[in-house]
Amino acid sequence: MKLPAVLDRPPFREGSFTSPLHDERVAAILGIALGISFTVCFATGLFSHLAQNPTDWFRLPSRPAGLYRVTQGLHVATGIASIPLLLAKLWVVYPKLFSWPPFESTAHLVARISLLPLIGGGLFMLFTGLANINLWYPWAFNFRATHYWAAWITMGALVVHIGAKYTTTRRVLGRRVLGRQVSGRQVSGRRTSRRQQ
Amino acid sequence: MTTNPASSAADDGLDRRRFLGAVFGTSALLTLFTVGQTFWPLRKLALLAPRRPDVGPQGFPVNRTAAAAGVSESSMSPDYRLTVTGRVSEALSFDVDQLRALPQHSAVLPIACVEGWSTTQRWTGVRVRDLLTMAGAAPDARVRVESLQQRRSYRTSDVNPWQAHDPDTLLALDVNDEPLAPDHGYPLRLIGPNRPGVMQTKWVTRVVVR
Repeated sequence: MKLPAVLDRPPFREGSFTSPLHDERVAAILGIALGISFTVCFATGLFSHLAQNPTDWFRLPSRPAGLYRVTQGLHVATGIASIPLLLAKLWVVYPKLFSWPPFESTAHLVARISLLPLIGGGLFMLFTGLANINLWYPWAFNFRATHYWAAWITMGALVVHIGAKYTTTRRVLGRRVLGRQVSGRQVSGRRTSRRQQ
Repeated sequence: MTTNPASSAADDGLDRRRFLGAVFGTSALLTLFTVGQTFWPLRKLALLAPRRPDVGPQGFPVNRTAAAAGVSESSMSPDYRLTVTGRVSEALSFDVDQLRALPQHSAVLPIACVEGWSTTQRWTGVRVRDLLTMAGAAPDARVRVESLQQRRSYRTSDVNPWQAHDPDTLLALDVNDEPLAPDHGYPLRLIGPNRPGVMQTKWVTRVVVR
């Protein structure tokens, strides 16, 4: 679709982002790493929540004695490790914000809307977690309750995102060696005509 | 940014590999310089962690001090008592000397803080299950321990039956054969296996059986 005249300039104009790092494979690899780290972080966080808020169906066993030490160590470590991964991933894919048309189908629209809780939730989880391990609370809300419910929202959006990106990820990682493809796609979804000249 | 039309796909691939290497490398280094807060062999590398697990009174960290909890006087008072009340056949009350006269047990257990640091120490004190037996509590009793601190979160914590009957769940008087420091919960703290650090309640003054 042709850009409206008022938008026919960077960053909307095609070719505004020329770095080869805005690349679907780079995005896919970072995405898989984040998928793993967020899943471990969520599972261990849920365990910690249940340990402190037992339910009818969950009661914390007393053995193994060091279990909570391992799960909570993993929770904090995967959260910290996710910080550079998430920042890098956002930088790699941010040209997509300016892609035109804004959505191509209902499914595409749903996938794009789900990015709001995914990105907002992911940044919120990592920031509040990092502040909490430093016992720094620059906010009025209750940390534990908010961190807990935001985790469910973030993981829900992550499930939608994995569904939306599954085919793309399979396609771009199916190729053998990173960077060997002659005509890669940039994350904006446009052909990178530069390499075909 | 690569604008040279002569730059080849192979160069772009190299850029991508270097970029991913830098990102994963940063992630790995952040982990290396923080994980020592809970992984003892790397404790000296925990430069970016809020705490080192070997720094603090008696050689390990404190989140909330006695002063912050407002228990500096009450924990040192000669009027201090531990009481065992609630669903019991006999309510009990002990001062510190009487607690020390009870059978003592030791356990090597970690404090694993929710903020990610942890430290293993040798704790000595009275088994919770011994107190429950003395008070005539039911075998399925649930227990709540209460701290001297009057306000703020984590003033109390629950001990479920599995935890309460574990032989290593103690109301500890000593750590590493010294009386607990004020900031570690003097005169008495709960310490049990596989519990979040915030539930290892300090300055314990009451055990309520439910």
